Amino acid sequence: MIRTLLALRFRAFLAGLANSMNKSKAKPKKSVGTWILLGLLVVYALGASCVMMYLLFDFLVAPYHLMRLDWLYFGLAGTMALGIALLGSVFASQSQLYDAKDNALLLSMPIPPKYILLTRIMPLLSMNLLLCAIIMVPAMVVYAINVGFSLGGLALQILAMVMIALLAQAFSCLLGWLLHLLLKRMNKAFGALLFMVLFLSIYFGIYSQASSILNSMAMNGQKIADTYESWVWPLYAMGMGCTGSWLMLAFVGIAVGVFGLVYWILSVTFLKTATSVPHTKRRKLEKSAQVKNPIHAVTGKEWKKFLNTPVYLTNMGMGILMIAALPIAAIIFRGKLMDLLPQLEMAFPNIRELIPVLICAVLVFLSSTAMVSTPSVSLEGKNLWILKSLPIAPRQILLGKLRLHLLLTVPLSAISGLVLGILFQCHPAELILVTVIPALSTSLSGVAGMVCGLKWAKLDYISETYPCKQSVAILVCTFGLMGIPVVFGLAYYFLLSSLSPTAFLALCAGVLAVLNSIFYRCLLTWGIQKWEQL
Amino acid sequence: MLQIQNFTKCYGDKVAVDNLSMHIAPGEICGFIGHNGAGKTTTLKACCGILQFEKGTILIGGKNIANDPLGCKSILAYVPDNPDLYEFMTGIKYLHFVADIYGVSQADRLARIEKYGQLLGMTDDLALSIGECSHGMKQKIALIAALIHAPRLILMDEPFVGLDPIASHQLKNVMAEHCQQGGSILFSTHVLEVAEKLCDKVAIISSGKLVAYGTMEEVKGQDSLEQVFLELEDQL
Repeated sequence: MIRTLLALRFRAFLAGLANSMNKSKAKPKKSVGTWILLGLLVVYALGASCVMMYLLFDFLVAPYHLMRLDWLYFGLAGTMALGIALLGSVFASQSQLYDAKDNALLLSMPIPPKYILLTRIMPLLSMNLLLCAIIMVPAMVVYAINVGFSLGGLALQILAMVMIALLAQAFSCLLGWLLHLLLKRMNKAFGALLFMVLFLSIYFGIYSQASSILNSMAMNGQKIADTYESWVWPLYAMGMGCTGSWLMLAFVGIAVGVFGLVYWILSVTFLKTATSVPHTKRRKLEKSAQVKNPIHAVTGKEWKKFLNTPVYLTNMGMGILMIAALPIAAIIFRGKLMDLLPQLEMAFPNIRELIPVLICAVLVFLSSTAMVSTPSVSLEGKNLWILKSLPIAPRQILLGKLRLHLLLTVPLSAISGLVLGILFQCHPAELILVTVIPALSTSLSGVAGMVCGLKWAKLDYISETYPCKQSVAILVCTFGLMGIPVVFGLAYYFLLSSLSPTAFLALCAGVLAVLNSIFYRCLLTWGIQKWEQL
Repeated sequence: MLQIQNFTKCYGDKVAVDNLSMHIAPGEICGFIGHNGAGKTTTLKACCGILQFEKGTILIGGKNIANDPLGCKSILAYVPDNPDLYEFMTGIKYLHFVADIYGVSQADRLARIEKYGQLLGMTDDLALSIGECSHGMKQKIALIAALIHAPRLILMDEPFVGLDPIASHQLKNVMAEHCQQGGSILFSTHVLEVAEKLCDKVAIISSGKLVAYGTMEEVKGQDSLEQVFLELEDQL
């Protein structure tokens, strides 16, 4: 039974990916290209993360080995892996375990809830293992290169990595369960957003201090070692285990024990938690409402969907929050930034001229994190019949959906650019460009996102996590837009360095405007046909 | 009001509906009967423009659904068998959304929400989020939404499933009233007694083919509709 359920779970995941990439069985050749593109994107994302980790561990390995604190090196790698895996899987655990659409169906069958739970946890555990590998594998490679390699040591380090993933999964299941209980008592989407903001605040708090933390870690190895030994003994045992100590057995015991305990608690409560109905408040009926035209009505509907879908709001809302937070942070830290400029000027004499370029690059990059329009077609899901049966033209539907994206992101990014431009004392021409380019970029993310959302629409998803986080449309759009500043930067460096930064930005604005119009035309021609075929 | 001529719909190699022709005049209620998978839902979805089809013509009030889908949709309403509505909206917000798309005035929509909400016992529950509603409550919201623009043709896929006895009774009254005012209804059902009592016409479909069609008297004669249906199924 478990094998059947596990096969179903993994098949659903793979089928979801394959279906969204190859809806048309008549065109298998196209899907090969898409698979290659997806593969390249995955390699790019994993490669970039691994290189970053490699550099970090390369900085730590020598001092720790000299201090004979090799165990602490692995202890720190394990701590980071645990943190990253936890961060990456809490929301997925909550939605996959408790919000899956087939929970009721499976619970109605003669399957013990503990098996349903276990088979839902397994794909999450695989994901956690991958996240842990991104941290632990570079740590192992750096250690093998700098200190030495042995097969036994490698086996123990791999065992530690698996156990860290197991421990992270246990904690993420527990937090996912608590999150689910919390969300039942408040607006789910806002609760999830609040939870995520808190989570990311801690993460970015640590990240912003990374340099000083890293130096402090290198300088105060013994102090940290003492803290580990007395306060986080399991990670001390894990670190010792990686260097060949029998304490690995204790760590394995702890990881398996914690996972087993959490699994037992969740399996006992799974039926009740997964099937409980949220607390309903009797609201006052307000019958009258403002009469809207069809496009505004669709936008209003999309807005409500956005506000009431936790995974949608948390993923895209975070991007919007970051665009808004950037100028606020710049205002708060203006003094420090202005003090930093002369120092930077010593290393990069042209830095002041490049400030508008940097502002645009950051805001264009952030626009790739606020893909409000991309999942909106797939999110129609089983409700697609409503818009299909109503007398509203596909053009109006698509424009209504796009309108929400534009309203949420374009004015905000333009204002962010303008505020940053004023703060950094840009000239009038530069001010116009730092306002227009982020606006064009977020507009492009909306239009191109809609086109990709239609191209890789998937209406039969099991969890809303899929269209909002895991779909091909999101992957292609996010990485595609992230690539724009990189492509522009490379073009400037290799081909256009003779241009002034202002002229270069004007050229970028022109290219973005052309891309906008191409995708807009594509949306209103091919996109309409595609919508009609859904 | 509804004219279906030689309608054919295929899913890959499978012919779901084969050369179906029928018509419903203003003021008529037509019951659409058939076994599971016979092609009822496919036909209803094609009539309301949700499904594209290969052959045939479907005219709604003289307009062709393939050429003028918006014109057709503006005078019809569709109630699906499974009321999958926007669960993130309250019932009242959903009704306003549908009214906005149809361009119904504030006064008309409020009057109809009041009338049908009271009739189906839903007025207070319209403040609830649709996600919190039971299947029957969602069905009632879908029915009110279907009636909010005073359609001339209503297409309903098993509308009585999930309704409580009072709401079922009220729905029958609403259907009768709609047809008295010149509107038309095509609805699928497995409850043959209801079809027998309510319908002017009946269409029986089996494996995508129309096997009996006409006024209730023409189709059943002196027998019950159930007997006729079972005999037809035996013959096929």
